[in-house]
Amino acid sequence: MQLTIITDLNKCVGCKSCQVSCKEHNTGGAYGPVHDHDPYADPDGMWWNRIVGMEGGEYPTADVLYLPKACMHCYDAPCVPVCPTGASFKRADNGVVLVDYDSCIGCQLCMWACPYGVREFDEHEGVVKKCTMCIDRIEDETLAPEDRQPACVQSCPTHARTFGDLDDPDSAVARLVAEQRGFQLLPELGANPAVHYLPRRPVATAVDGSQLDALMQERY
Amino acid sequence: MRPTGPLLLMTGLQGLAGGVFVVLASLSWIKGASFAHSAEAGILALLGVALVAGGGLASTFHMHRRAAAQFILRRLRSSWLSREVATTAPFGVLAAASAAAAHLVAAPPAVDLWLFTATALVGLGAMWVTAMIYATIPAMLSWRSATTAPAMMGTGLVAGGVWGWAVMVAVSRTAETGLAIALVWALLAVAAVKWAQWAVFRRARARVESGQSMGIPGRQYRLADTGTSRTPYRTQPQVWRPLTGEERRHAASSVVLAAVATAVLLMVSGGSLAALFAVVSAAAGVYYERWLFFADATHSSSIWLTSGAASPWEQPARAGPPAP
Repeated sequence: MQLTIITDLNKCVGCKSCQVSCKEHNTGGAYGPVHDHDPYADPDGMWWNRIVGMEGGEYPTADVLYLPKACMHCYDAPCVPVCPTGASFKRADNGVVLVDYDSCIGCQLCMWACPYGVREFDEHEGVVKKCTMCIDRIEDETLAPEDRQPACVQSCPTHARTFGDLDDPDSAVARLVAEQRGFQLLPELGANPAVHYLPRRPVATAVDGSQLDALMQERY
Repeated sequence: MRPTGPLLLMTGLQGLAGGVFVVLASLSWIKGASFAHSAEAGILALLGVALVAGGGLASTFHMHRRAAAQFILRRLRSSWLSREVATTAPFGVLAAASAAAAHLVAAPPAVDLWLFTATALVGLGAMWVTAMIYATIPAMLSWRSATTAPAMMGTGLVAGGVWGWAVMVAVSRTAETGLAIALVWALLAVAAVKWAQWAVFRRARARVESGQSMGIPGRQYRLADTGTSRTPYRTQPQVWRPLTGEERRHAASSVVLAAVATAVLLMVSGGSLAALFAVVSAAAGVYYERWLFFADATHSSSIWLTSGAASPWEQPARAGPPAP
């Protein structure tokens, strides 16, 4: 079994609700590892899920793309073998990559090894932290089955994110990847990430530059 | 990535110690049994121990949760960092034994000779293992290269060798011309490797700066927003702010200047004063070389954090809480 999250880049509108819900879920409650120690003085903080905004093309055919980027829970996670204490490990039963804070020495070698820059260093506790795929939710049997999924998946207003077992060919995530040519980020670095993205479909441009200029002149 | 003090110290001092012990072992074989109990050998061994101890001390500051250090040998089968501890610790023990033997007249010279040799060999092994930590990370585009291990080891060995030569010149009052010439040749070889390594760094930087589609197939994209109010250099130290061209030029010029000054001082054989200056220039060379090695390293995740145009949301940190 390899749990994963598939993001459809056609549906993601960059609202960052997944980023915020991740932060909210993992900051709240008795167990809150994603904290901001001084949020008013320093708005930076730890984010396990960051939405990267990008621009493509040139006017008048420019477009924007949003890439939600969290731990890829790689099949060959390079952060795991480099860890000297075994604090970084990959669960054999569901493929989720986790960090045992009790045995982490904070050397940050796993952060160098991760090709995606999704691990974050907690200066206050001296340990490295990252997305847990909301392991506390997906294994919480007191929750209703439909609620046993990561916070970022649940909060997505456009249903751009899908959660499931990539190794099960009948699962929704496996079908999406197979049918819509899901791709991995930086596959050349050999990590074989479980997280996939569904590529943008080409959209025909209905207007040209002169039409846009005329419209802008007319209105403004 | 961020060139932290403990990283610079632990890698730099380990290299210097390795170089000192290689000089000590080599001179013991060349000069014979009488050298083993000489004042020069004793000082060299003490210097080596001090350098290993300094590096070891710096490494404890590199760990942010020392309570978990008890688990550090768990991943010997896969982690070069575990292996570094497993090789550097014996290096330190052997170095201490060497220093003790060099100062105990009762120890037979053959014991000293073999102890110095074993220390030098284990030291070389520890230096290689340390270099492999950096050379085997695919995500560190600048370091994943055949030049990393020889450049790192060579820099330490030559600088440590210069320190060893300086001790010999200052204590024995001889020119040690043979050792000086050997060090100049070694310096030239390391310079060639460093030249090749800097070319690797330039290619890695170009790979990220070209955008490479931000990892997205089908279309070229450029970075607009890193996801939060500021680039997360504080929580993600595997990336650091990109060096300006001027900073890079200054650091590289300092390395070259230190290397040239060291080579000149080795060749002029000007006595204790020249030896002292050589110690300073070699140390400065190691410092700037190592600083540039870390500060200018390009990580693959830089494409989502630093490539393309600067984020329009990039703002300086606020000094205090907002006004009511």
